[in-house]
Order: sequence, then C-alpha cells, then structure tokens
Amino acid sequence: MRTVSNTAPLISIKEITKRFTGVTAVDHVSFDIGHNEIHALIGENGAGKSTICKMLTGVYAIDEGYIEVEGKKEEFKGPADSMKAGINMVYQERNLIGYLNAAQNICLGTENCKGIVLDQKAMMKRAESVRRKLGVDTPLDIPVEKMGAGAQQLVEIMRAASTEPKLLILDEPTASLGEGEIEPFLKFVKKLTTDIHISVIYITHKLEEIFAIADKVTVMADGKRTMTANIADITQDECIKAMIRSDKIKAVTVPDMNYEKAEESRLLDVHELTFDGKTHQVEFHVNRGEVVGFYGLVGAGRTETMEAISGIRRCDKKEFTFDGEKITKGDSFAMIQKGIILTPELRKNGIFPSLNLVENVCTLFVKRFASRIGMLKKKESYKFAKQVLEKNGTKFNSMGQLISHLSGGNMQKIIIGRSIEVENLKLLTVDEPTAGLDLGAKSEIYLKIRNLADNLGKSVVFISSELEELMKVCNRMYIFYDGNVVKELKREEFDNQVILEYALGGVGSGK
Amino acid sequence: MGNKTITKKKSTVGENITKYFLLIADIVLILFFSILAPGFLQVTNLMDILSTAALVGVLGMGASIVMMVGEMNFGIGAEATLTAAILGAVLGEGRVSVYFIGVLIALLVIGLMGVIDATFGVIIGVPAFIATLAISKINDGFINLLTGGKTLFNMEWPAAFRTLGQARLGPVPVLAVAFIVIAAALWFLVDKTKFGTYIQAIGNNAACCRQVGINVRRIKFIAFVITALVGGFAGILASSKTGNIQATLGSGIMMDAMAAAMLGATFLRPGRYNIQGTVVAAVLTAIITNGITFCGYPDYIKDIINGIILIIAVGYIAMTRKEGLPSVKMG
Repeated sequence: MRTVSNTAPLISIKEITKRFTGVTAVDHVSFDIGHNEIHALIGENGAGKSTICKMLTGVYAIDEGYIEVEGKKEEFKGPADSMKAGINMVYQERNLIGYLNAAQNICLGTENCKGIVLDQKAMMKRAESVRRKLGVDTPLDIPVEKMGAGAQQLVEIMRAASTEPKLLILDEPTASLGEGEIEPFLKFVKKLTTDIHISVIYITHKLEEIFAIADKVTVMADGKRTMTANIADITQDECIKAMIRSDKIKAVTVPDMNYEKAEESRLLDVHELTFDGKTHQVEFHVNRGEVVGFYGLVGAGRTETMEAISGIRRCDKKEFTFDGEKITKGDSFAMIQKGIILTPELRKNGIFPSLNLVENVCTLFVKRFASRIGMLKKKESYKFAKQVLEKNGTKFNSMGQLISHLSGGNMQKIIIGRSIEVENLKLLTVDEPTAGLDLGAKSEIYLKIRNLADNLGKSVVFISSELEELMKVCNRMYIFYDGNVVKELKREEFDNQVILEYALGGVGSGK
Repeated sequence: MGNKTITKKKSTVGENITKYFLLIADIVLILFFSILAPGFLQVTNLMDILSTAALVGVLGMGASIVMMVGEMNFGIGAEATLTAAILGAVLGEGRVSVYFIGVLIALLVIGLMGVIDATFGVIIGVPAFIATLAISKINDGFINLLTGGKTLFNMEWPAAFRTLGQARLGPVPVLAVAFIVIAAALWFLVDKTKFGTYIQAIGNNAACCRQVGINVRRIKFIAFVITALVGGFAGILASSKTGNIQATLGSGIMMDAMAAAMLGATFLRPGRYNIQGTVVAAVLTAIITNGITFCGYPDYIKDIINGIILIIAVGYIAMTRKEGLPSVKMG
C-alpha cells in the first residue's frame, strides 16, 4: 500500500447541489472517498448518481457546495480541469474510434510525434506500458471495432489509466459484458486499487457486484444521499431499503378490481416475442379498464416489448391476441387502426417541435379533417384542437404558438390528449410519461391515466422507472428483468422490496 | 485478464476484392478500351487521361478533406472558379505581372472564403451544406463581376499562366505531376500526421474526440480552410489547362469531384474517405470519359456509366457499414 502522508480522504464531496429547471437532481450530498477504495454508488434511475459524477468530472457546474481533492478545494471549469486534478471517468456507452487500434485509441488526443510525423512505435510502447501496469493482455494492434465489448471497455479503461488518475469513475461497466466476462472484470477492478493504488467510484445496479468488490457503498434516492456504509457492516436488504424513497405512498383512488370478472374481458394476451435476435418470455395480459404497470431497470425490455406490440419495433416473430383477434404482423399504422397506440419515452419523439399546437394535435387526424379532394379543413381542425387542449387542461398562449415553447408537462398532456382522441382506441401505452416533470404535473398525468381506465373503459400500459408512481396508479404490475417478464403482482401484493428484488434479478437468478 | 479471446481475423479474398475494386476496375477498363481501340494504350493518350483526372482529382481531394470531418462543402466549385477569376483579373489588369504573386493573392482570398465557410458551418452552426450553398451564390456573383459574364481571356497574360495546365516534362504533362504532388502532400497530411488522425477521428466519433480533449471545432475549422485552398488550386489548374476562365469551370466538375470522393471511400478503407481512393476514383472517371470519346460513342454514355458505378458503390457502403459515410449519414 502506498503510504499516505496526507490524512485527508482522496475526494471529499461537500454538500453539493445541482438544480435543473424545476428539479433538484442532487440535493446537498456529502460523502468521502478514501485512498485505494472501491466506492459503490447505487440508486434507482434518476436518483442522481450520474449527476454527481458529471459534477466530479467537470461536465456540470456545481450550484452549491464544493469538492476537495486530498484536502484541497477544487473548482472544475471543464473535464480538462478535473482530469488534471486526477479524476477520470469511463462512461457506460463506448467512446472509441472504431477503425483505430487499441494503442492509437489509448493515445488519442495525446499522440506522440517525430517532427510532424506520427510516431506509431512510441505510441505502441506507451500503450504497452499502460497495459503491463494494468496486467491485462488486450491486443493493441487490431482495430477496436473487431474486439468484443469487454475488450473495448478495457481499452477505454487503459486510456483513462494512461492519464494516471487518482480516482476512476466506472459507470455501469458490466452492463455491456457477457456472463463469462463479468467475474474476471471484477477481479481486474479490485486489482486497480491494490496494485496501482487508484480509487474507484463504481456505479451499478447489480448488488451482487458491490458485495463482491466494493469497500464502501453510498446509496442515493431522489437526489439525496440515504446511506453511506462499509460493505462489511450491511446486508443487501439494507441497501434495497435505502434505495426506496422515504415518503410513503399516498392512497390514490384506484377502484377495487374484481379480477375474476376482469379476466373475462381480456384485451391483450401475450406469451413470447422474438425481436433483436432473441426470443423474450413476456407472459402478460391486459384486461379492459385496467392500468398495468411495467417495472424494471433501463434495458430490461419494457419499452421494447410494447414497441413490438405496437408495431414500431421490427419483430422476427410475433404472435399475440388483441381484442379476440390473433395478430402476427402489422406496422404501427395498422396497429393504430386496431386501437393500439404508444406515446414514446422521449417526449421529443412525440412532438413536431417546429409546428404549432393545432398542427401537433391534428397530424394524427389528417384524414378526419380532409375534404374529398384532400384539402385540409382549417376551421374544423382548429376547433377540434382547441377542444382537445381544453379538455386536457393544457396551458397555452395561442393556438398558433410552437409546441416546443410549452413546458414538458403541457407537451405530455397534448401527446396523451390527442392519442386518446383516436377513434376505437383500446390500449394506450405511456412510456415514462412523467420523466422530468415536477410533482404537480406528475399527479395530473396520474389522474389522466386513471380517468382513462375508470371512466372511459380503456386499457393502459404504464411503463416507468419510478416504482412509487406505478404503485400509486396501477391495478397490476409486471416486473421485467433481462428482456423477460419475471413476476406478475396484483395491487394487493405490491411491496416495493419484493419488486426491487425481482427487478434487480435477485430472485429470478435463484438467490 | 483471462485468455486471449480476440483472434486476428485474416482478411478474406472477398474483402480484398471490395477493398481494391476501384483499382481493379481501372485496370480492367484500360484493357477493355485498348482491345476496342488499339490507339487507346498510347502514352500520349494515357497522359491525357491523367490530365483529365487531375482536375476532378484535385477538386475531389479538396472536397474529401471537409467530408472526412463529417461536413460538406457544396460551394467548392464556385470557389475554384472564383480563384481562377481573381487570378485572371489581377494578371489581366497588369497590376501584378508576376504570376506567383497573382496565385498567392488568389489563394489568400479563397483561404478567407474558407474561413467564412467555417465561421458559418462550425462556429455559428448552420448545417455546412446549406451555408456553403448560400456562400457559393455570393461567389457566383463575384465571378460574374470579375469576368463580366464572359469567358475571361487576355493575350497579355504571362506565359506562366498556361505552364501548369499545358506544359510537359518530357512526355509527362505538368498537370499530372501537380496532381501527384498534391495527392502525395495530402496523403501525408491525412495518414501520417496528428492533424490527419484528428480529422478522420472527428468524422467517426466527434463525442469521443471531445472527451479526450481534442478541439473538435478548431480541427473542423482548419479542414474547411484546407478544402477551400485545395479547391481554389484546382480552379487555377483548370483555367491553366484551357488557357482561359469560363464561368462553369468549377461547377462543371464539382459533382464529378464529389462523386470521386464518395467513390474513393470504397477503396482501401471501406466506409472512410481517403486520398488514395479519391485519386483512383478520379482516374476511373477519366478512363471512362476518355475511352468513350476515343471509341466514338456518344457523350451521354459516360454519364450513365459513371452514375451507375457511383450509386452501386455508395449502396454497397450503406449496406455493409451500419454507420454509413461521415458527412452523408442518415437520420
């Protein structure tokens, strides 16, 4: 172990806060990272983990509070400053130049030159010394695009290590790795701290990894730090408890379901779907007048499943029953005709940013407002759009204003509002409809969803990464893990601890 | 960690054929035309081909630099013509009798034009192909101002004006030599220097470059200026070859030049623009043009054949490379 004369921790995060318009993403968070320490950072999606890391790497400016590196207060104006102070990060998505080999990627931005000519030999030497230091045997002389995901990740870690950082941030490093690659990778991360004495912030969703390698863990929930502890002192259960938000679930008017009766009016029945080259076990059904929640981690297959049903995602094989009819093919247009409509996860994919409100509402109904020769009936479409906006309580200045000038909540109201105007709508899928909205706007969306099911008799699939809102609004819930449905829960059975365990793969993987 | 799981894949015969398809096509077409018309293989004709290829090739190499960083310059044809027109204007009015100074002035002005392209395309952030299209309209106006809307020609121009385009070193046209020298210089810049590494890397993944601290904007800016300068020089070559300055001098070959750059992206490093490929593609176009004329076929056939080759080539890239070409990426 390196002898540390300075008794201060390597990194001290002091009461840092980051606000985005209307949302406090990180709220007065403090914790320390020691020397030679693997510090796990966990929390649900949107809990503030990445925001903290982006403040550490200088990507985001810190609104309040500050960061100390070895006892010295630092202010990062950009990633370069943070790198100079010894902090480097490997992002979840790969950042490599595909056709360059590993050595060239490691030296990217800091190439060696002889005069003005690139000195490939010197770069290879430098890359080799980094490789030796890290004790890996990734080939350095073939294009990285020909390497597997694991090797590519190592190349990025080598690049980060070549800047001799004191702290390395790894954002979900095992997300792109295969089964067999994970264990050696974890050993490698452990060796980083013992052999070359750098500390690691390890962001992950997988609790078993944390317990395998981390020294300490900090848990985030809703922008706040809920726990920092030595791994030796805690259990997985305690971690999960800390991840769940403290504020209790309020009673929302979800009418009791008579499941037996509801089962008689099944609307959608799905068993398995084949897309992206894999067959997914997605055993679920939706009844009439019911709100069904889909919970799972990002990438667990919730969005993909509903995109497949709605005809947006190409399927290699699909077969499901909808409204008594067996469906095996059809694009999104055909599905909308049948009454299946999806409002996308990214709000920007649901709007035409440079069109006005009337156009944004009426593009879905061009047929309805077209005269026989195809001219658009301006007055009628205006009237209809105004009706939709008023019915949904949208706040706007004029019908001619651009939709991109509205707030996120109002955009969402328009997207959902126009979708439910589709004739013979039977199944509406809302994908992360409340992302980035404040509490008031969120609750209005909840009411809208409930109203659809309870008063209009429509069915809703509600996809969300916020467990709390699903528990508030849904009649039933399906939990996704790794592309498959792993659990079905009725409202009476909702229990956030159980749900999180399934979503994190704790139960499904036989633990 | 663990055992080596990555094995070096030997490139297959099929890969090599696509990699060197352009060169193979060059050779096959030369053989083909020489069988059809025995005179085709004469040295003078082959040198003619190289001269024809020089104009499209140099303009294409200029265009390819900015395409490498993922941008476009649709004004490069007008920039070529403007450069020639400026040269003609300063020489003709006798203010600068020394040819070299004339060339320097013309290139200086067109370099500034590159700075303007880059200011709008990189700093202000107008999509580059729109910005350069708009700027080319202004340049068209200046060309008309300088040439009076006519073909510019002056008996009093120094003889040096025609040296680049018409003189020969033994059997080799100076134009072909200039082509090879410029190609060698740009190849060195792109393949052997840090700057070259960066312009290619930015076209491939600009986010990655930013993350490792490469100044993406600066590199793009310089790329626009280089493109304008090389394009401008192509204009000087073209005017020297004809001995006069026509208003369509640059715009007439711009599309062929851009096509050569795109066709060149199938050569050697499929999916990436490269100087070698642009040269080989320009030669291919010249062989077809020359061969068709030589064998007495009507002119339109060469357009049809060139077009078919280009659409097949870029179609092939779109099918085999999911990321597509930088600068012409889809959605």
